[in-house]
Amino acid sequence: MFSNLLRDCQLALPELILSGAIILFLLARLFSTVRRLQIVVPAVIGVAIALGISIDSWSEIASRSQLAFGGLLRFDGFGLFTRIFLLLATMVTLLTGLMTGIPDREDSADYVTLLLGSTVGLMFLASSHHLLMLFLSAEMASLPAYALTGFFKGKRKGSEAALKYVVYGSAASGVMLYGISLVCAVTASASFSELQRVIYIDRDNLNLNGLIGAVLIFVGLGFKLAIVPFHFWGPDAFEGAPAEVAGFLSVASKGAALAITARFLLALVGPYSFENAYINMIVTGIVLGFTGTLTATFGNLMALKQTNLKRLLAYSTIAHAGIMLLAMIPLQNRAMAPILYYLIGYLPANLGIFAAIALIRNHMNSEAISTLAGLGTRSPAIAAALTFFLLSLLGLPPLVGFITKFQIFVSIYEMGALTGGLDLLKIISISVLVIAGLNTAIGAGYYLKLIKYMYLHESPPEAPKIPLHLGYQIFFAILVGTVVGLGIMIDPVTKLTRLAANSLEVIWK
Amino acid sequence: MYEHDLILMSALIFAPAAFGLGCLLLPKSWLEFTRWFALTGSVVTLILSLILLVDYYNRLDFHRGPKTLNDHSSLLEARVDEAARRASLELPGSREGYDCYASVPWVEKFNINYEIGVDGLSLPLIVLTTIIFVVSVLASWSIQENIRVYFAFLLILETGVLGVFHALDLFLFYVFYEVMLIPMYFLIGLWGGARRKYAAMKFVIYTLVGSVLLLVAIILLSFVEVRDYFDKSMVDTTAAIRKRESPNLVESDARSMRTFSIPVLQRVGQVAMLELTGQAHRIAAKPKSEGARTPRWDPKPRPDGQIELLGREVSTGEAKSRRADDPIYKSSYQYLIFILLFVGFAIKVPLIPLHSWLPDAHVEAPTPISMILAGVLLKLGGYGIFRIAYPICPYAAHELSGWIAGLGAFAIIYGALVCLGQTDFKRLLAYSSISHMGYVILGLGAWTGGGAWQYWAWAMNGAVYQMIAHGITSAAMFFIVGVVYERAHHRDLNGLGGLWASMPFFGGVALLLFFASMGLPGLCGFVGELLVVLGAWKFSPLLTILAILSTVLTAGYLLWAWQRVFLGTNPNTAHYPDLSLREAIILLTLLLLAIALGVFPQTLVLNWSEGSITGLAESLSLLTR
Repeated sequence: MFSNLLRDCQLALPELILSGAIILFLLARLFSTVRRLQIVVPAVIGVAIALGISIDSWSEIASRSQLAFGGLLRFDGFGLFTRIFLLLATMVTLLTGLMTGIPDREDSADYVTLLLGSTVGLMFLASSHHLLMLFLSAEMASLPAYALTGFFKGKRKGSEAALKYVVYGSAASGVMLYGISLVCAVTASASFSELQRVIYIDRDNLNLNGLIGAVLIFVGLGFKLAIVPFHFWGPDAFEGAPAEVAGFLSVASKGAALAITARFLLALVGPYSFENAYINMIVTGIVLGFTGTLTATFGNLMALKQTNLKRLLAYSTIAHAGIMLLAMIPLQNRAMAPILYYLIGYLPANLGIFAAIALIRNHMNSEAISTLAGLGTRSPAIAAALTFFLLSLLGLPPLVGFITKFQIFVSIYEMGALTGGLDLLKIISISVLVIAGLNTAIGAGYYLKLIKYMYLHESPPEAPKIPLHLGYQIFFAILVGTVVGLGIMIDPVTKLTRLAANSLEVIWK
Repeated sequence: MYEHDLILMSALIFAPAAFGLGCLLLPKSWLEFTRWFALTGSVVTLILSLILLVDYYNRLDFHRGPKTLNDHSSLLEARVDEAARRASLELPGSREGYDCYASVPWVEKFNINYEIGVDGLSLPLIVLTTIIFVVSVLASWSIQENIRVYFAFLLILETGVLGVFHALDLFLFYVFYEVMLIPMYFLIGLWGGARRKYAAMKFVIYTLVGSVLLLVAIILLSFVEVRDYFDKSMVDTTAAIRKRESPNLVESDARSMRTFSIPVLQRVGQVAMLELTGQAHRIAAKPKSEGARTPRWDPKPRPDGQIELLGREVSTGEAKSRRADDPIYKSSYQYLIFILLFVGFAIKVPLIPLHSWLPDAHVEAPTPISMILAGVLLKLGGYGIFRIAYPICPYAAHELSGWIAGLGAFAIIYGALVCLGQTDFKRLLAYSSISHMGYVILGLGAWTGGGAWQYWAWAMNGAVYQMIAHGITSAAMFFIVGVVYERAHHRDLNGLGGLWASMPFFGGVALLLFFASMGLPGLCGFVGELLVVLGAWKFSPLLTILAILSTVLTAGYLLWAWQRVFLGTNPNTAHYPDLSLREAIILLTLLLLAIALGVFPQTLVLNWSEGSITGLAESLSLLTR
């Protein structure tokens, strides 16, 4: 028993380190000497240690999936990949905060503890193997995020955003909890592997309540992902939150929610076998295809007419969530590989954009699109970096956004093409592809609009130059390098994502 | 000697981008040095392309018999096959040196390769590109704002263009195709005229729509099962490796092959055509090894009419049964893919009615960019149809050839008629580009199958020659507009006139270049048009007569334009200085090329380009009964 606990703790070491760091930072406030210290730097070090340990454990965990803490958590390559992704996102967010000085010395401890707390929650969420754990970790991730959204204490918009986020978030949690209780009642367990067993072996016990429960859980997850029609909180929260936090919400929180959605849906459809594969694919194809295309199209269309940068990016995030949902349609383990690639390519581009917005806000005190006017001549380095990020989100080769989109399109088409005579699946895959392709064209409308503002519009006469220290030039250069590098060196990452996706194999207890 | 080809061609592709990025690192105040640095970059690229040309020429000289024009040395497919066969040997044999082809794995999961190579179809366009870029860098001396960024974009654009001309892998092709988009957007949008924002956006949207169509076609093509088109030994090796990695793989999955390689997909298209025209019995496998020696593959039909399209030792019967459920061999799919590819490229050509971005882009773009746009970028559309649309979907291309030739002839006449009504000098030249590129489409469409294939070969050679000739004359014409604009600061034909008096030297050179564009014998424009018209006559006398008649219109609008600019008296233009040394060098270089290509078409180009183009026409034509 005890040795088991030790092993489990070892598996969850990165999370434990972060938790320890949180406690340390909270205690630090008690001592007057350290109270005034900028806590962000030690936090970066803590995250770096956790990141190092996670990467170090890759070969061990990716090769053998295992359950831990009595089956509450599952440690496998997929979860580890997501955790590394989350730690990287947290790291970039912290560095952005350091650059823009948003947590000043006074409140850096608050900021850092909230951010790390949310990260720990998200990491547990990505490894959950039990509905209860899913709920707990989702709450653990959300509560700090609510507070972070309202981090600008004096700003009305910030408080409004936080309130909206809390109200929507708690309603969604309630719905999810209700769904969980329904599912538990039907299957007499809340573990994912138990769910699979009940659905595929003891089918007789299933009834409508279980289905309703599953749908309610999906609704709760849909809220986290901000898919249409559960997206209303997104634009408001993004607009009110500091850009640094908005970036974290759009990348980290979305990534973890996507990972757990994948786990949950895979648990529902069970192991891949021929009897159920087609039926599953048709059902999920219709459900996911419909919500995904709706989300992507709606997000892109709404983004076209936004005037606030963060609102525009909120809708762009919604659109990307739609595309990632579409990527799940083939609902097999291997279909999850492109999603992981998508996430890892999405990270530098989106966080880079939010970092640039934060810098612009610091100097111009506004986040309207018009602040970009003439940025190309005022601050050529930031403008060039932004151009790379935006083009990657649009999906132009040779940037990473292209190869990720390409992989997803291929995986959707593959589902339709390789399933022999089933015309319905073909129709689904082709129509999804057509709509996704059209969405790329709509996306060009607003991404290119931002680039147009930066380079083709005259800068307003009083607009300041935005200075960029050498360190932060390097910071942006690394992000741009990642966006380009991952788009060209495709093979190494593809291997990792495939390994991670394959590790989703079912573990029967 | 594998590395020789890889290094030379990669250096040629990426040298401009390297110099372009170098421009960004120079200090801001070194204006003159930046210009010379960019010029050095483009000249280095030109030299590399000439080295490649010499390599290719040597190769032809060394391998080609005295009689045969298009044997394995000039046919790219044969070279690709030979390279793939050698690479798949148990003990990979030494690659043949200097065969102007290289392939390196890029993305293993999708079997995407960094596969590049040149032949008589792409090499003339590559040399044209490097020449036009040198000339346009020279023409960029008058650009004053932000020149570091300007030259960076210009040279990155060149890398994109050269990459497209080299790529033999559809994915790689697409990547380079898209790389050109953003530099061009900025070059028009930042350094352009008054309505540059509108023109740049229009350019991007048209191009993006075209490339989305291409992407869809590429994804469809990447799902074609191509195991029958590789040698059996190679598929065996691949299957063995896959089984070692995942032991419970089903045999048929382990042997499944996908590819983005254009030469392989080309054979798929040819098989589809034979299948759909009821000639499935003509499909054969490549020759087997005889002991240690493997005979070379010849893409041409054997004396008994069979065509070797399948891989070595592939059973024709099994291949046939596998073809039964693959949708790619259905005519609907062939039409779908062909139309996606053709429309995607036709936007770039541009073919009426997809042309409306071109006049706007030309009018707003600065002079050097107009020169590149007309001289090089339009050729990408034509090249794409030549290299991808036609060879990969010959069935649909053949069935639709009447429509395509008709569209080409219509573009010739329509473009010329619209020219007559223009008063903006640049807009006139933009429509004249549309008219001239019509000849390329007409030449392509004039598919006279079966025994009369030589006529089509003429037309195809003419079409390629027309692309080169138009590249040179249109670049020259746009530079002439630039020279006039720098002095007059407007382009209104009715407000000009009298330049002959103030600029006699310029007037003379311009007149000769106008003649070259018109297609007067002895100048480059004539050769291409003549070959196209000769070949197209067999296909459709009516369309040919229309094309010939429209040369009267061409002469009309060009001479009328020249007259409005140079003749008469005009006090406003009397003080204009004649050409500067730099301007004279640019115009004289282009004029020299126009004359040389008009007088020695065989020696300068056709000698080494004809083999591949004629080979393409032959291998496609002989698919028809």
